[in-house]
Amino acid sequence: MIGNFLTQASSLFTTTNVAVAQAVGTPGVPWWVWPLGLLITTFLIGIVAALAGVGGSVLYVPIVSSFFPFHLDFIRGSGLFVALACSLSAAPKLLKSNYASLRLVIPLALLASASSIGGALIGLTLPQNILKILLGALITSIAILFVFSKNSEIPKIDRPDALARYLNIGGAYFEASTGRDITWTVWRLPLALVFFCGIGVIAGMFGIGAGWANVPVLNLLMGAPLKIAVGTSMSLLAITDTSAAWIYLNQGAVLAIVTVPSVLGIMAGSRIGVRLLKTAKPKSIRYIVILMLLLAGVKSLLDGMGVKL
Amino acid sequence: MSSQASVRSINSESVTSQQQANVQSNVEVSPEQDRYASILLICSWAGIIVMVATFLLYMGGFFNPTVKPSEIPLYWGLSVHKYALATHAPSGWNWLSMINHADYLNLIGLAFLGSVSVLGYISLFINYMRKKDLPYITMVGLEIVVIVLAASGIFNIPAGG
Repeated sequence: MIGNFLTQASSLFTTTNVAVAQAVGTPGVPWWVWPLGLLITTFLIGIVAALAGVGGSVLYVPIVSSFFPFHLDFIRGSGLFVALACSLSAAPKLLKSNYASLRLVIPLALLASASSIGGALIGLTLPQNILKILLGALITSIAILFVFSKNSEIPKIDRPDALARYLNIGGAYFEASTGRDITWTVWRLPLALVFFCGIGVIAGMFGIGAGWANVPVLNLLMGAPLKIAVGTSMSLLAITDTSAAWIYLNQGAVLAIVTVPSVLGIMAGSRIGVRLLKTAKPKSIRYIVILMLLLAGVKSLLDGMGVKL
Repeated sequence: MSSQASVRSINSESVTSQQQANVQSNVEVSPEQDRYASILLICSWAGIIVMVATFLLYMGGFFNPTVKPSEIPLYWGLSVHKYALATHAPSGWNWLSMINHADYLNLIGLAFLGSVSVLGYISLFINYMRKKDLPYITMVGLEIVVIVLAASGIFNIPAGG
């Protein structure tokens, strides 16, 4: 059943994008085709993103910029609101279940959100072709990162660093699958703060949520358990993306006709995706996401270099 | 300093011999984290409802939009700077004076979504003040300043510049 659903969803996704791509070159297309196409596309992105455990905007920005006629400025502005809305809807449950820690979120978010302002300003200054080349390179690199990265469920860490001890970062959560109480802390916080500055710049510059980078840094570098890394990353985005989203909003780079259908589509899709998660095969979905990222990344690179397919 | 469970030096799983209720009491959420989560939950849904309602008004042709939905395709392929020049779009907070037009009324819900984290952080600031948790008072205070500065419009890039 799930296989049929995914096949149909994939075929609907292809049909929608082919229709949209054809419509780009057809001036007589009714205006409402675009927001409707965007709603359907983002709904499907939401399903795939939830099944693969990635943030929607990492798929949203490259796919929408590849197949829709909107300028990249407006897509990046919408991408930040997509990430913000997804984060705001997921974070409360994670925080209330102790799968995210505010004591860990607060120092990381401060540097990431401040640097995302710089990223947003750089992004709004650079020409579109340069941005598309950089976005293509970034998305292709993320796809490669997904192929090779191996998360650790509960990393073993040495003594926490002095800063983590001073800030008393750590906590405990109940692991329902094993019936055990997991106590955790982190290390290498100063180095992680440097990484989060870079993550903030990238998030602001390209309008993507950056959960793809947050989770490996939290899990592999800082030694946070995977569930804490995912929950904390989701809660972080609500703050990191807020600063950059304001820069785009004040600049006028947020068009309601692009942003609202995108936010609604992704939120609805991710809710369906979470329900399908019980029966889906995460590994095969991960391969679909990697393939989608590779295609969107290469297309963005070629677009930026002026190569038409 | 923290009301969360005590921190061990090494991540670990500990088997409890008690009932699940007792286990869960060990991982109790701190009151400030719980309140922050509640603020995010209520305010984000409020923002989304306002966003949808104003968008329906815009799509329905109400409130005399400055750029009608049917005309937007003429402009959405332009860069944000060219779009501003072509549609005489305001920059910074000047859109507030144009919320009698449906396309700018739409921004109310989005701006509210952008303010939700600040509301949560104000609650955290008060909680950490009560606890006299100086490092977190400082970081939360600085974060509020960062978001307010971003929202203030002082980082605006002039059109054509």
